[in-house]
Amino acid sequence: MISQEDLHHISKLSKIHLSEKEFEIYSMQIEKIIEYLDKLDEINLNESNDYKISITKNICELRNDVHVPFTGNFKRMRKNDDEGFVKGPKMT
Amino acid sequence: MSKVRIGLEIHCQLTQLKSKLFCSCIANYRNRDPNTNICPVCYGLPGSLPVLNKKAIEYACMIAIALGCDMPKNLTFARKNYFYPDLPKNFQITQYDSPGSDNNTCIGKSGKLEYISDKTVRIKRIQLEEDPGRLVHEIPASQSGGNSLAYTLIDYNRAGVALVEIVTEPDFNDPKEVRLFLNKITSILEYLNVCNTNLEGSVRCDANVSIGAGKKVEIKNVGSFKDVEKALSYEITRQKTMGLHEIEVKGETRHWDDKRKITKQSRSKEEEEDYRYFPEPDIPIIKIENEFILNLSSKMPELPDQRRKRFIENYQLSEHVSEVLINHKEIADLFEKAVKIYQSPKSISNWIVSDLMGFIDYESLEGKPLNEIIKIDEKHIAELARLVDENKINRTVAKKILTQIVNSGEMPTRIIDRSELTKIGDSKTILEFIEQVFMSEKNAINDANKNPNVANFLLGKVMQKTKGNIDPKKALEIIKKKLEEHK
Amino acid sequence: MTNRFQNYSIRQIHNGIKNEEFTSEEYVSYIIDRIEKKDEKINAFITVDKEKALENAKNIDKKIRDKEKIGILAGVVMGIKDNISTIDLKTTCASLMLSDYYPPYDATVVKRLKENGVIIIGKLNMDEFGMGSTTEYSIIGPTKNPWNLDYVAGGSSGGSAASVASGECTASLGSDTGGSVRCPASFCSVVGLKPTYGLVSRYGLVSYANSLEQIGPVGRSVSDVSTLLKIISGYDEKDNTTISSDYTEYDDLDLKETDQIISDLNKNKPFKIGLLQDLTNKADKEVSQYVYRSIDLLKENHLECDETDINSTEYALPSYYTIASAEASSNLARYDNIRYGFELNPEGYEWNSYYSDSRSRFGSEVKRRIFVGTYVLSSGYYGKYYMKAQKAKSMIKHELKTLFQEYDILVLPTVPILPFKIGEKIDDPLKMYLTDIYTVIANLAGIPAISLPVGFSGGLPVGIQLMADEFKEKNLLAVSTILERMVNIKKYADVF
Repeated sequence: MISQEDLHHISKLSKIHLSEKEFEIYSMQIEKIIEYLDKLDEINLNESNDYKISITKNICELRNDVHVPFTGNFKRMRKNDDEGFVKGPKMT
Repeated sequence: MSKVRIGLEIHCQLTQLKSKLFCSCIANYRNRDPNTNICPVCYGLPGSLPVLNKKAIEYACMIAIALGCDMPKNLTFARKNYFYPDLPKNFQITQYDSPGSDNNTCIGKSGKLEYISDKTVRIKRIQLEEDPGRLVHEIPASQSGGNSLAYTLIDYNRAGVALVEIVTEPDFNDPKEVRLFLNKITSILEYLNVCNTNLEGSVRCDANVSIGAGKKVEIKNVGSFKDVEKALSYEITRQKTMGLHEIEVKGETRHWDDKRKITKQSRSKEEEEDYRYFPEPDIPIIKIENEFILNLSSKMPELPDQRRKRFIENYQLSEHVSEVLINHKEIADLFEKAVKIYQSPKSISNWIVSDLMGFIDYESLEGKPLNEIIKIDEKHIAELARLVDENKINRTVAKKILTQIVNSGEMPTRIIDRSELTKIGDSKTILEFIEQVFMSEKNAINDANKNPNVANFLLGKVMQKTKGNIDPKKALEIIKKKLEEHK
Repeated sequence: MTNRFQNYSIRQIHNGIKNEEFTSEEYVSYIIDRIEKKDEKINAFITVDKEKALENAKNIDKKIRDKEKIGILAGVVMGIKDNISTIDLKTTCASLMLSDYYPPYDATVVKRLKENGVIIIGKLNMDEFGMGSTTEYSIIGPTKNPWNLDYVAGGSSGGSAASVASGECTASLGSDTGGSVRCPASFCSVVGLKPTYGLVSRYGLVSYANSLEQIGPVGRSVSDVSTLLKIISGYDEKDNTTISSDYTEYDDLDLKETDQIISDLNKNKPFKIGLLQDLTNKADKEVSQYVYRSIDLLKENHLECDETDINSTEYALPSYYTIASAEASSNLARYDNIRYGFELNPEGYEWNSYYSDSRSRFGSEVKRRIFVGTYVLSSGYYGKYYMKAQKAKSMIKHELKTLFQEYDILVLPTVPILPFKIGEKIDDPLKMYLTDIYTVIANLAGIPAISLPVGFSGGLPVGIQLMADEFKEKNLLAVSTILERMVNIKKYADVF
């Protein structure tokens, strides 16, 4: 079950504003989706068949510490440029 | 009174790397135009992927080894999810083991450090992570007419610089201990040559304080190590005062106000912190083989404690002098290089500890190497010590010479040759001066039989006449001899 | 303009241009003409870059006249899914959040294609950020199925499949997180491959679910797909999850006799194909009958086939949606509209409200997945969902690994149903998710899988799916070549 507070919390955490109407629709849909995911609850985490699912590498395979300048052009994405700084909303 | 418990979180940048933690931009982001040290990776562009820096792992592991930590078999990274305008991706790549799990996937765990004799602090965890960018809340008043801005300016040059976080257990009981510990950590980082701790912002410290059974209060935003002690003292007093008035201390995060020198409640935490950590899918699990650790350990530079021991044993220096020398790696290096030129550890260490160090203000170094601030190197120190030991000059003169070297970088002998400071060494000239004094101080000489201090009085007169430029020992010898003759 | 180029393969185009039977410019002009005629109906392209394509074509023609060396794919015209970064060519992910985003760099796959002479004609439609199974969740509207415009093209790489099927490009690249290449390939009657995780660089692919997705080629023949795979695969220093080894040599299967391919497969030990019977039987009959027919055709070629099953698949879809949503919620956090995005001046805004205002403009499906992902990662639920989903992933991978000790290839439907009508499932997210039920298995296990057109039912395409063990793309492509020859199905839609 996903409560009203849960969805408020999620909306705040993900920084997505929801209108009242949206709130209603999403809480219904997400409830159904989460219910479907509850199927996973049958799985026992303690059962030991931990098959490796991630790629593993050795340290020697990693990048060497050298400076390589980026040669591409950033100009086209400076929509909020202020003399080289990026302009963002105020903090307080 | 209830027991004070202080724990620390120290962030130190791996400033000695050439590139950032996950991309090939320059690690040294300082003194650059805003947003010129960026690429798709550290700027967080869609589609970019982190590419882990091998050397960063090595450096971080060296710190973990120096602090006696358990090392992981498998190193993993995790995402810490939170929004903040200085975070290009709105998550930070860091390391995380869920509390209570036996997993060890961070750079180091469960270490300890004896920071002064008989005082040990436990190291909880060491992890490797990326630094965020920088926010400029206000532009200089000269440009904005003093008004604060309706927006924030962001510079991402720093974003992605490798950061090692050292977390201690709450083992400190006094802010003074914290200062000593921080000095020790600074010195270790210097010795490992992984972090230039003199650079502004290269080492940052958050602290947490609790008193007795009270709640834990976090203190953030402390700009310098000097202020950590102040902030802690302030916070302890605040909590104790609250205790006296039976006000409960809230578990909260407080910010250090650098101008007013107080801690203030943070307003920014409007929601419960929920970082939703999960394993970083773009970085593979890194296998840390025993061999790698052994190899790294064998290549580790000498650490401050080892060096102090060696100084005491090899150079027969006192505990205190060794401690002062080893504290700053550059000073200890200077000492050892000078000893190679002139094999008198005692006098060289004396010159460094009681004279030279008076010229160095570590606060104002700002990351520059020592020899950019004072123009002195091992050759100067060695020569100065030798000249004094060989009675070519006396200490007073030598000190004057030192002042000149610090500014000019000239060799002591050159200064001596050039000036009138040349010590009058030959007995014949000394004798001439002494005879002059004997002529003018007849009364004193007549008293010499009754008064044993006359010899010293005459020596003073001779020194006055020669402006101290003679060897006093030699002069005294001659004076005594002449007085004998007079009897 | 004639249709002489219709259904031309990569090899035919490249040889034709190299042998000066036609010019690169002629071919590009044909493609542009085709896009202009068709795409109004199909809606496969978000951006078309005619000028640059013609310029590149002229350069190739000049090189040929000057007897200079040309790349092995010179003259091939490709569309690229709009979530794969192309330098100075708008890359929107079909989202308002990137509506004005021009990447300053090429994805590694794009770089490799360009280096080999591929001409990029434009960027292809998709579900916003790859989240969807129909290409209906796009800022420019749905891509239509070229075989029947009332039907969905599948998704999320709907533009990649539809453009290839309708002849708007030679081949294309898509991305496959939970079936996003294979589903539209199946719905549009073209060939689509999802490579082994780590075989193809993801550098430049706008992340949706990093641990599951791979870029994959879409083409009108197995041989085209195999040629493209050869170019785009292999270690990339810009992607730490790519594998540094030699899995990237694929034979020129189209030049080999079927008997030769079969005897190569059986060289070391008898080659064995397993039909996933339970999953096949659970699919719609129109679909499953083609799977059985395909198995019969393989048997006719003396390939050993029998039936088998996987047990852990019941957890596949919940596991997939948990992991994918979790990763998506984090990946999409960077879209705060500060450095790129749409016009919304941050001045005067308090940062929290600027963020949540901007981010409320994500499409509905993206928001759903961000919410679900945030939920399953939030404190208190991590162990219940995310950890169990990872456990399920490991169980599935383990079970498949065991199966692949006995079988070289596993066969099942790509999608359990036929293409459906536009709008049919859009109001029921969960029903939409079920479209992916057979494709997510390969993403969870990290294994390669291909969707191959095998027939039509009521004028709508049917595809089957072949899966192989990690890095066994070679086997996958070999069996696909045999089957392709046997069924000989139409992959070029010229109905509208």
